[in-house]
Amino acid sequence: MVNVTWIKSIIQSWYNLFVTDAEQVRDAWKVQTSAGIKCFKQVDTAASKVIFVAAAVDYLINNGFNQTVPFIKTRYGTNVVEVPEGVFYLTDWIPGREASMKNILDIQLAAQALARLHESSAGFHPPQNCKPKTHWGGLQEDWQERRDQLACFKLVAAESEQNSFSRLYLEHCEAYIRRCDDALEILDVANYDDLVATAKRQGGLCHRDFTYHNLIVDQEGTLYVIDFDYCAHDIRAYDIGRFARKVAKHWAWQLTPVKLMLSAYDLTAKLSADEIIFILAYLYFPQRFWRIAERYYTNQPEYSPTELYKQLRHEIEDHSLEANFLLQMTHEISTGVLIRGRS
Amino acid sequence: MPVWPLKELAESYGFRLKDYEQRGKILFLETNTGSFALKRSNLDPAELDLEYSVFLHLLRAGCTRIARIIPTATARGFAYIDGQAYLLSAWINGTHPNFTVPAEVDKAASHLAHFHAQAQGYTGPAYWQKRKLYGVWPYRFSYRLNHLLWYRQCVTARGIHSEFDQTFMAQVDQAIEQAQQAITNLRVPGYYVLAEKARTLGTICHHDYTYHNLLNDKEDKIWLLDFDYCLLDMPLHDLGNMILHVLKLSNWSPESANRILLMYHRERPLQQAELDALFSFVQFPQDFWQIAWAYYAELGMHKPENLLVRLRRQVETADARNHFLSRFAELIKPQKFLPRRESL
Repeated sequence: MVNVTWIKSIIQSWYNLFVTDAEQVRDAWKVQTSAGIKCFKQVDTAASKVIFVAAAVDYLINNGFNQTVPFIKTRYGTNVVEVPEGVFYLTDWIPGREASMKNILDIQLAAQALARLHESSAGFHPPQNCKPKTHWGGLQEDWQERRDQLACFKLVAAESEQNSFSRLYLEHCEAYIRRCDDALEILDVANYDDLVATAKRQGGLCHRDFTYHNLIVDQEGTLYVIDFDYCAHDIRAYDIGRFARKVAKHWAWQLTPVKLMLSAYDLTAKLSADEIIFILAYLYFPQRFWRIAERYYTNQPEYSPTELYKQLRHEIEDHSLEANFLLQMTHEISTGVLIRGRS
Repeated sequence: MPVWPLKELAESYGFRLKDYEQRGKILFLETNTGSFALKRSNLDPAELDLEYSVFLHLLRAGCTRIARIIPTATARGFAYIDGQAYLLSAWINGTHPNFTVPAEVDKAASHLAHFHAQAQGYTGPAYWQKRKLYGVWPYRFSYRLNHLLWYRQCVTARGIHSEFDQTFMAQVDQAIEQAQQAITNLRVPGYYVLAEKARTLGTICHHDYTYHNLLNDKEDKIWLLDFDYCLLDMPLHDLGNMILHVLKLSNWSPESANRILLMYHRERPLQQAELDALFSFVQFPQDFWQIAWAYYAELGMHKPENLLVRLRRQVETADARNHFLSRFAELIKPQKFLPRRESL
């Protein structure tokens, strides 16, 4: 149903733009129109959530964050197109390349952009006509629940016939459950509830999908942040922690790139001690391991067991590096040398 | 049937026509900018402008699952060609729900609540007065009650001339009694407070919320069509009309009204004052008045035989309706409907 002809007609009739060509790039459509190249994207959430996202992006831009592109309004003045085929929106297409996680300059640029994004988001209140997206608090409960799930899967693995996934899982799950406990303990040290209370007061936003494929570097070397589909009210350290994990993973769990990233962020917007400890807690929590186990033991049909086994093995291969990374990071935080120029 | 001025329409909307097909009263169009439904409208231009501005308001208020009205090249909501207005809207593939199936009624009732939660904040232009009904229910109802009183007086004076007169006179006393009760129960602070609240919120009613204006798409999402009759009034107006529609299909079964209220209440909680006003709305003998009015006031506009058939149907269902009203009155009593809902 969603093909080039359809895209052409829908953009013409909703935006009054004449479309000459359209091609699919990742999950978006790159559309050549009479008013330049545009990006037409389908979202899998409700239109009311896209209204939140559009309002958030508008707020960021009005607040001086110029490293993203605004939603283009339809001829009806709305930011979102809803048709039986789905929910869509249109933005300008940014010509450029995806940021590379192997390039430390890109990482630093991204960290600074993230800091600016967070600074500009202070005071955002969603409009009346949308579903507010908030993730304030609740991390302890989530992690506790996931930890308990891991323990529960252990029993399941022990009971089930000895297949390769369960054998591997049984062998390593203890270490990961311990890491969950560590994460929860560090979260407590980070005064998580205070962080949430402060962020709630300031009304900050998180991007929640801040990673290389949503970062575009143009020819002048400006980095643009796109795809705010998952953005929500949350503490900013969540975004930083998530990005730090991506960086660490790409650099085989070396501490230096993460340190450089955090320092770049800190240059633009000061990180508090609690936030740094939160990031540590976030990195401690074995999100990926839990995700793989959950997919396997709750029998989600879209994931094949062999693929999940491969993923688990891959995850476990990195475990010692990861543990080493975490120890080193903990040590540097406690001695106050994690972020350059700070004691 | 007059011909469709397709050439002029294509020009004023700026599309290239590929194909078209007559489907009932509307014309299905296949164009280079999509598939559309074209219909003639007998509303006057001011009302059509209003329909378009309500549509725009709803879309911007986040109510995006509605049949999109296509604006002309000059950004108006309708085309006016040779004294006839045409309305073009996006074609939505889907099926109408069946209001005799309880599950589909349930779905429509929660959809209505959902729609009402978003359909507000409208600040309309002045010519809206005609369709602005905040707080006028008692006034409108007593206006209609006066008609009934007047017809009764006239028929008594001139004597019974037809079977219609006879049937009318047999029913009118009860109808007048119900109308008087409904009006008395509406003239309470509760109703006026609700109306004032609705006025400040700028709530919008669809006013024709029934199966032929609803469509279920492939993914079973509901789309709402046709805002020709939209009103500025409390959401209860829609809810009351929907209950009446469904009740007429289910021969006034109290259970179906209860279900609609339940489903609606889940999405958009009702207050006691709303339940009371709703009861008066349902209690008022609207259909009876309409038939009598058509017979005695709109002379020559309707066939008397048809009106007699409609009136007879009223007589046949009168018992069921009265039974329903007494059950419904029980159902919405304070401490009866509302506290029970909290356990949901």
